[in-house]
Amino acid sequence: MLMQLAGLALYAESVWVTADPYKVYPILGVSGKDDVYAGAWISIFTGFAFFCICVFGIISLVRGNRLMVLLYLVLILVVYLFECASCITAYTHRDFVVSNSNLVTKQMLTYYSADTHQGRELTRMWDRFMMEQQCCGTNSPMDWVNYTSVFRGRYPEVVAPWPFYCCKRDPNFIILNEEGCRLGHVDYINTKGCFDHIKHAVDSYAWGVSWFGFAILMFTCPVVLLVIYHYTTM
Amino acid sequence: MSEVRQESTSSLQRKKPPWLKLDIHAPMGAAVAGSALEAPDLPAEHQHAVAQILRPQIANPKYVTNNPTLTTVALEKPFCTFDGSVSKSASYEVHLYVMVDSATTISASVMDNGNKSLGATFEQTHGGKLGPYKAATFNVPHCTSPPKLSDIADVAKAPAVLTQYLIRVGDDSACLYDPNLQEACNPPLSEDTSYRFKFVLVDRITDIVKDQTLWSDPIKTSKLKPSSSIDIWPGQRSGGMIAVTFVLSVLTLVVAAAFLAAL
Repeated sequence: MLMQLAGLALYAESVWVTADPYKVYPILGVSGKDDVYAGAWISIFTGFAFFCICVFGIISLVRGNRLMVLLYLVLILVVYLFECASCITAYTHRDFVVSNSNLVTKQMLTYYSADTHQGRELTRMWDRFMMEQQCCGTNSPMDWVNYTSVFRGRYPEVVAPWPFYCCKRDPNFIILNEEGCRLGHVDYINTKGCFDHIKHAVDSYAWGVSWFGFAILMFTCPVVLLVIYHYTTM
Repeated sequence: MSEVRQESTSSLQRKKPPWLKLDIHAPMGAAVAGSALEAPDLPAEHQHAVAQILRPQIANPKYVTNNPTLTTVALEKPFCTFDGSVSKSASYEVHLYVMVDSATTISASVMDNGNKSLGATFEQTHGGKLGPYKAATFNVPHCTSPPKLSDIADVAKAPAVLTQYLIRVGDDSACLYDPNLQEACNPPLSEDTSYRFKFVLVDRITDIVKDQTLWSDPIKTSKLKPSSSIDIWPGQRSGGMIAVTFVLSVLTLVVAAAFLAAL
């Protein structure tokens, strides 16, 4: 019965992750590695499967039918394996993306303001992040200055050393002082990098999928062992 | 940024307004002190004493974080530097000369034979490679009422303070292509190149050089690193990932073994 509830909870959790409330999907999608989402999709499936199989298991145990219990065990074992995979994938992928900021920085420099589908999508995402989170670049505004990038190739440095979304704005989203922003005066530019925000988003997804799945698996293990024991005594 | 150090550097420092004295960063103070030592003992009545042993300084990094950039260098305007040479009767302006750093820069002159200021442009000198070019002209900054740097935080005052305080070399990306341009053109500098700068006090009417600073220390424009050189290898795996993988593998094995044993 508890496993049923756990299965449902996992299902809900994974739906939350795949719905991407932080809108960081472009970062993961562009890199061609969106395994956190793959993990989440798998756990949607396994969460629901846990629920169904547990209903089936309870019925079979109540009936005391050996064949049905055996079927239950086989099914739950398969789901168990899948859930393990989802757990590990999500966590590994989190390490890959946000264990340090290099991947995200490189991606930002390669795709920001690029005239491709991926570029446009990533640009939109970064613009929104920088406006809403009041951050600039991945680590700091200097990311735009220290490295070559598509952005640098398109806009002369004299006019725009960094995107104007880095500039501090008033409540109406009007740039406070363009010249001050261009010079990098601390009162007119967001000096904080956006990496913390991205890391937080990806982390919470990975934690959701991975640790929650992990906890459920830990709980499922003794239950399954008990059922196996019960099966041998039937 | 200790005040004690600033006090002990040189009496020249005290000629600067108090707000400059407080905000000067260490290397700048050292540079001024160094140049003061090198300079010969000038007689007190020598009017050019102050300017001729000062060098143009890069803008305070506390206020201008992105400096020097790839193509621009922001300099402090020469506050109080030319005080000794300004006479009330004439009107003056300051010219800024820029030159690529080389062995001959120190001795490069910005005057022609008649003591008039050079009119060389960016194009004529191949961007400062052949000799100094005139990058900008501005009014002599007021020594008596310098801008307060704390005012920059005030949005209304910021543009005025920035223009009063700073001169940005390489600020104008359009003037090279403007056929009607009359004034000095200040186009972007080249990246990864050392430049030296000099402020010159010029009589507005006769165009005669009244005073000048030393050439600044070489200031190098920055250089881009290729973004492809960023290493994206995540490095060490986190402990959590190892724990998850290990525990889950063991549990799976246990469950599978129990299942097989039960069959």
